Amino acid sequence: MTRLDNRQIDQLRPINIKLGVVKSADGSCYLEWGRNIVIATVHGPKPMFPKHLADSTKAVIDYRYRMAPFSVSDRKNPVPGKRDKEISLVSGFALEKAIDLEQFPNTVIDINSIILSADAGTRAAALTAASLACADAGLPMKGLVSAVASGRANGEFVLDLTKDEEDTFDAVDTAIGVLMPQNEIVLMQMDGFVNQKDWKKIISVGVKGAEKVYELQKKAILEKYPLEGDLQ
Amino acid sequence: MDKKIVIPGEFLTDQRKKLGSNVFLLNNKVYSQVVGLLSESTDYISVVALNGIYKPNVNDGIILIVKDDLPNGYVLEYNSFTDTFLPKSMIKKELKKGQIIFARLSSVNDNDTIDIDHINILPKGRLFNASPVKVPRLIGKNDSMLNLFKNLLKANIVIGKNGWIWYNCDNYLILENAINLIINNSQKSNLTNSIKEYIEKNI
Repeated sequence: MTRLDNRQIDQLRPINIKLGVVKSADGSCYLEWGRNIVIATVHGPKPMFPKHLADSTKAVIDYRYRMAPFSVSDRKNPVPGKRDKEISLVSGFALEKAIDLEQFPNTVIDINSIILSADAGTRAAALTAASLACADAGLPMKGLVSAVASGRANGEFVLDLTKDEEDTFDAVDTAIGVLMPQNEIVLMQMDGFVNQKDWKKIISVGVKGAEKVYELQKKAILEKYPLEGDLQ
Repeated sequence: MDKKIVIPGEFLTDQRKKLGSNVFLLNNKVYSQVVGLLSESTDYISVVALNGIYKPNVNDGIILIVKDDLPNGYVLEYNSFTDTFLPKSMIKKELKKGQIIFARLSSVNDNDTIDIDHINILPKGRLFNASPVKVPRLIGKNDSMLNLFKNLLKANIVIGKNGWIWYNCDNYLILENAINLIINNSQKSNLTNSIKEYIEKNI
């Protein structure tokens, strides 16, 4: 069965990744995922202020997920709401699993993901871009976080839902972040009603999708560093 | 040997080898920790990072800026995530705010705060902020790249291990472009010849 946008049920939207786009940041990533556009930047490790928030055993991750006011059809209030804060918190936990924080005690790593254009699955796109920006900044990591949304729409278990599919009568939308290549789930948020059997299917579709995202992440990193050719 | 770029979490080997920098061991298998170039021999494995911040080591020669002048000493900045403090009793000359100095790193403690000695004040010049992981390429094998700058551009240049470069040169725009080329193409081989061609073409 094909979907409204002529995709297979286990097919991702077209993804386009470019690293090192923001020169003032230590690491950055530009990501287009279908109609989503994300810019992620990494600043740090740098000293933590105020100092009582610092951890003397490891670095602290300050992850910010923000949607630009013009990213959706109605203007979004730029004041961070409950949704922004929650996504920032759980995505920060996912990145903490990936980065080796013990090397930088008493510091903070600022990670900002800004959504310039939104069309469902933005938290997955933002987390994917943020993990690539961390790799671009040269932070020591156990692996990359590959995130994707999977779920149920019109009775089918589909990968990478669009806005129309999220609004169907039986919709279940699950954002999954997987630490690759260890295959460890580090983020999972679900919206909708589902029984246990169907939920297991949704997770397996999501993990397979994350593997596809991981291949694209790998390709993007290797593209930044060509081993041959003229000086750039 | 062909060069190979590895990414974080990539499986490198399951043989018993001495571990160098930027790799980690999990279930007797060696994985890469950063984006970098793989450097492997029969009994040693490490990854040379392509980006990253400065981690202080004893005996490094580094460039510092005097950030603040306090009654009992100086606060110095050195391209790391902490600043260092130099008591006035440690130095005979007086330093001014904004001055650039070159010093040897005498000790590093667990919190990555440092002590310095052998302090030299650098005269008027320009400062370039490069990534510390590119410093070996900026110096080159047997100082080949550094000699290129000194001979062809008549530059007075000091490269700190922390990635800061101080220089005094008439053709500073060519020098800065050459340094940028080295930083952006550090993964490629035969870089000294390409840079030599670039300088000779533009001088």
